[in-house]
Amino acid sequence: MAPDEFDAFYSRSWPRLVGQLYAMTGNLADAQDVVQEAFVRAWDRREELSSAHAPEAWVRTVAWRLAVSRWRRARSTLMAWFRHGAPGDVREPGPEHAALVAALRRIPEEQRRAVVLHYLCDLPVAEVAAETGSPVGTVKVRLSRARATLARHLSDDLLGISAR
Amino acid sequence: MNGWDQQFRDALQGLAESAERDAAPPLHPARLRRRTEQRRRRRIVLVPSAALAGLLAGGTAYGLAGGFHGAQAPPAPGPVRPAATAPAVPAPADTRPGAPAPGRTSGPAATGSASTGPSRGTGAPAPTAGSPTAGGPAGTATALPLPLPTAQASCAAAGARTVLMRVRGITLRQDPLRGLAAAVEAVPLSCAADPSAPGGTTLAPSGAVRRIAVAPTAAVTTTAPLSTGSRPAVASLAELAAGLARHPGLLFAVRQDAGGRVVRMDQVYEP
Repeated sequence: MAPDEFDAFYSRSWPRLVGQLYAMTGNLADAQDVVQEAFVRAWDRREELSSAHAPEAWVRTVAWRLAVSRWRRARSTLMAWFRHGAPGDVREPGPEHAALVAALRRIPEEQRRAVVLHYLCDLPVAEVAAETGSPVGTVKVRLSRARATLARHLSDDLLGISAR
Repeated sequence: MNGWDQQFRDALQGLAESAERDAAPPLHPARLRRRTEQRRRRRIVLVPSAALAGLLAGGTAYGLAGGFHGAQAPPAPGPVRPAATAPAVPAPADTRPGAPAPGRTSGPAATGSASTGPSRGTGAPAPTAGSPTAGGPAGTATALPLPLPTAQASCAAAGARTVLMRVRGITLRQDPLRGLAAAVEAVPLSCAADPSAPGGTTLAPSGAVRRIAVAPTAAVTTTAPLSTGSRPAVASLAELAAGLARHPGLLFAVRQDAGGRVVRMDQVYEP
């Protein structure tokens, strides 16, 4: 991948990936931090990235792995503080999204990842399975369980959120 | 897709868009690429430096411990203090009633029979009665780890690096540089034809006493007389050394890694 190609890819994919990682992690500062780090690594592996069919999926997977790393999570809180300012500077989810973020935090990480890939990235179950490295059946179970939990916690809020 | 799914999709989309709206990349693409290059350059410098520092520190420590002087000398008790030593003495022939002497045919429980009941060894191909030895590639008897004290040794054709051995002793030495250094003295066994034995084969010595290095992390399970209870007990190398000092010449399924070091020892019960 040539530098100008990479720059275009970076600028184009950045907002989308931050949005997706925000939905996965529930923390905007963390999302920005891990996406940034994933892009730094992406340039280091640009040959691998060029041959990949979906470079955005590659960056998303790396960012997700960074986000779930406990060590990274603990460290990134501190680093995010220095890089992006105090958490107060980072916009908290508005009242219209607070319930959704809270509900997403209630489901396990892998379920949240499957939900975001399926509902937000519009990936079919087979592609979610490919990206997460899980069997299709497992993804279906994760989606089903996540949906059940989210439906329980968002029974009234969801109508309000989507109506806005 | 039902209504809930669509509402949820819209809500999720709204959440992501709220993050995207002011999510301009904090780093200019060129700066991001520069950061990657800087990191790579740092790695290139740091890795050899760390390796060199480690080499110097290791060499200094080795020199301080007298390693350069004693490299050609036979192992002697100098700065090295033996932590625990089990004398590798030959097993007395009849210390246990009914126990087979080391280097001789095993007792009825440790026969070369392949039909050993429900133990894990039953899946192994049995040696034919006509063949004098039916061991592994090295001519030694291979056996599967035997989980229960009542399990019996069985001859297997080949495959795993597990060999049945009569262990005479284990020596432990605390090396200041390399940590625990352990070695077993053992006699490898092979399956030999014996029409009088059940199954037609017995375990017999297939070579001289060998001294084999043991990995410090080797797993050891013991049964009677080294431990009590109805199940094999996990033991440390020090416990094994102490036990073998009292009861030398016990039968073990010994597993070695590709480098020949013992990584697992499972005692095989001999009533």
